[in-house]
Amino acid sequence: MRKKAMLLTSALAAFSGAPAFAQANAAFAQEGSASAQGSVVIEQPVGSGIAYNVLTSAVSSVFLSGRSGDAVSLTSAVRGGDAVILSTDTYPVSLGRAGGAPGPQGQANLLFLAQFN
Amino acid sequence: MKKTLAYALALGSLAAAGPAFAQAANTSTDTASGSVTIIRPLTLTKTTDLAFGRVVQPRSGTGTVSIANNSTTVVGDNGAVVLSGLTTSHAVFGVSGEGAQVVNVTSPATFDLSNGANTITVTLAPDWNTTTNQVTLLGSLGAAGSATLNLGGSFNLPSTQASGAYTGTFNVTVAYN
Repeated sequence: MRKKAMLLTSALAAFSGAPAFAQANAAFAQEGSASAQGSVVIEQPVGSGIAYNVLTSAVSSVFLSGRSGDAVSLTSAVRGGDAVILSTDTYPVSLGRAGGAPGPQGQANLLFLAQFN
Repeated sequence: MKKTLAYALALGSLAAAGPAFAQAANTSTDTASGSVTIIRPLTLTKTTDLAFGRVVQPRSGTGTVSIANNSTTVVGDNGAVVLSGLTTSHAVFGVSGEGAQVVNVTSPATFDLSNGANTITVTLAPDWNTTTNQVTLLGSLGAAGSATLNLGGSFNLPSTQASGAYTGTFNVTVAYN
């Protein structure tokens, strides 16, 4: 008797599931959902500094500050146009003339442009 | 003999009329009309993701980064610098359903972009009325209707934020009112 009663209960439960299924379908049809992705790439700031000798008033080199692997286009009156790939986060750029010519010792002005690509 | 026959006929007609009269007094008839409005299922489709592109963090303090819900231009402020090179866009969703129907729109106020354990909280800027959170589909009843949902966003970018690529997702849901 107990076994029979349990079977009957199960059958009723299965039967009552049918309206729930229909309701779920109806809910799906009357609403819609979608997702979007957000994204951003955060980069470290880059910059440059100079090595300056106060005794001789000479600028000996320029330091680029960025991230290893950054490509930088350089333009200066001394070196002309050039491009370097940073091998470290701080990268010294010699201002010596190409071919071993003297650097800008004693120069009063230095125009130097570094563009991180 | 002729009289008898006439009497019998009169009784017969009275007996037949009695039940018919009683039936008419006990019934009443009226008419109800049935109606239903069939509307199309509602569908929401993401068209464009929310892409801020590449941003350089400020050297100090906290910068802000934002993109309007009607623009593809990312704006950096307070030391945050936006770089070129990556496509930027606000998020766009398309709604399709029955014309002229009002739908309720649900979206989070914020969501997180993450890169490992590092997160950035983005505040969303929808282009619909966020007081009612309802949009009426273009078109008329009996024809297909549509609407476009646009979301911009903004976030704070402190100088201490770890560099790297951040991603995250958010859900938007629409339902007939």
